[in-house]
Amino acid sequence: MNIESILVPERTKAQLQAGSKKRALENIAEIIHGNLPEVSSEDLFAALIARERLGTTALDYGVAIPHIRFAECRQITGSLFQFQEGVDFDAYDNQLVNIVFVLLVPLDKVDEHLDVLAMLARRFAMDDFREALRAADTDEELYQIAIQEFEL
Amino acid sequence: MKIIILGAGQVGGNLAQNLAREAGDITVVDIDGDTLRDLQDRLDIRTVKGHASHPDILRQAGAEEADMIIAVTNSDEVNMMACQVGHTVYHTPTKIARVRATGYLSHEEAIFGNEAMPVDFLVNPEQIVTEDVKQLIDHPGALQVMDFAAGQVKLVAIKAYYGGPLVDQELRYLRQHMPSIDTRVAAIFRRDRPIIPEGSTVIEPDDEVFFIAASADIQAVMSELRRTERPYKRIVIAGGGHIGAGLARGLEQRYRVFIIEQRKQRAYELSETLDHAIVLAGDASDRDLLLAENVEETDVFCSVTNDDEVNIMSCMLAKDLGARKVIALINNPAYVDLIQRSDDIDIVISPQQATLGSILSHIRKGDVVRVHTLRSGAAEAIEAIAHGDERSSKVIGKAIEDIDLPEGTTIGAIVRDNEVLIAHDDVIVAPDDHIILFLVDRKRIQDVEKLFQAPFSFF
Repeated sequence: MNIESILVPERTKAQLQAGSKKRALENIAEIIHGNLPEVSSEDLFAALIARERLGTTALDYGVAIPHIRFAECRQITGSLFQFQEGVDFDAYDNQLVNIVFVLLVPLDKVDEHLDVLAMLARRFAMDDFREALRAADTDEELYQIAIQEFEL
Repeated sequence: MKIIILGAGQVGGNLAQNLAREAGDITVVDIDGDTLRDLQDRLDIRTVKGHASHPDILRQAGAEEADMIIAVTNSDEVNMMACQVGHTVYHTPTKIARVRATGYLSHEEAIFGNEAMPVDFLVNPEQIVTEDVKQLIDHPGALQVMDFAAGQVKLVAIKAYYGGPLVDQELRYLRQHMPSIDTRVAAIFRRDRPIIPEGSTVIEPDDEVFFIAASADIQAVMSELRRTERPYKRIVIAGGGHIGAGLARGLEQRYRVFIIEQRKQRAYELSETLDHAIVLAGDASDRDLLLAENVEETDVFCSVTNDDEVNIMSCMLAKDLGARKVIALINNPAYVDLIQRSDDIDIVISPQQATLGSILSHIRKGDVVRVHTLRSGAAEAIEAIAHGDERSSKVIGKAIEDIDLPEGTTIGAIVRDNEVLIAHDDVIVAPDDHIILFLVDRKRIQDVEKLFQAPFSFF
């Protein structure tokens, strides 16, 4: 599975602003709801917050991949967000986060989601990829960079 | 974490002080500018002057960004309304309110919830204090009794005394001494300094010993360790407010309870509502009244009026007249430290300290379900749930002796599927275990949080 198969331009937003993790996740829940009306923004926000409470989903190098199982989600769904300024995600390396990839997984997917998560973690660990994402000025540019094929 | 505290009174002020220490981003709102200035002079916090539940004031305080609202103004209604505004207008993820009126609390399930009054957690210091005192009376000799895992495990502090079975023995002897009961010493404080217990540690007189055991075993352990302690029979409560009345009600079936209340009308009301407790109308610091009621035969004299000075003085008086154990409720933090250091009063109960733990449990990262602060907030006991699997977690699949715990931290017990396992070195941690830890130094909490945060791969 690659990023293109789970991401659409409508859920790829560049140049967002948020003063805190709470505000960032609130924005993200609204945007995803805008593209997937069956996903309630309130429920999604609450679920994302609940996951963060158990432990941060930030990786090192300013990237976070919030990932949850979500009842209202019918297939594995990705959404990508780039923030103008870093947001404090309680990362272990204390870096502020400006790239957030949200992964929603239906309740019935058992193993597939772990592969997707691992794929994403590997992809975002690549310096060039992160730098290119950070440099994107528009939603479209961000999307095109995100779906580029890559060799691991 | 961004936190807004509403109300800069004793509870709010103390919370701000404790939370600011944890490097949080704290804003305090109060209607009284002088109180705020006083707080701001002492602490690294932001303040906003205004009405705590008004949306514009909350926005000024940073509600759009805030992770949590803690509403502890003097008004239940303002606290509840602030949570409502936080929820509806700002989607505040965690809302905590102090609610004291029994009228609201007795309909807790119907009133509180996101579809009705969106308060995630209620805090009622009076209820917490009442429970704490009840526990102390039910466990003679205990300095502090703390519940974990919904009451399945207790952590108890006692003082070792000359001639007691604990003293001058190595800890490993405890196991031989009580072969049928599993318990563990989680920490020892000697002249206010912590000692990490090992098998070869020898307990000295006056050591403060914290031990942990299944609740079902705790009485047996205590009676072994404090063999000379007679059970309590006669209890005198000074002060018939919420706490005093709650205590009397909770204890009157099992103890001979006397309650002293100064206000005639209130004393009359109490005598109408209490079944067995005897209500005395009078002044708790009146020597003649105490003598007339045979205070020298009292097992526990517990002063819980809303006046610190009255509580301190009546306890000292009762102790002087021969009461076996005296417990004083003290609000003023300066008095708490002072009295704790003196030997005049056996146990000091601080509502602020008692309440702090229940709020800290919502601030701790990772799945921390219970926090008790100890020794004026210097030490902490927590219950955390281990999430993840052997590959990703720093604790799951490991034997306790192999877990890389921060210095000064011990694991006391594990609760797995309602079974209490005392934390011996070879116990292996499983997913969803509730783990009870003791930190002699609260500053280490961030390292403990890191151990127990759900790993990244946790779904």
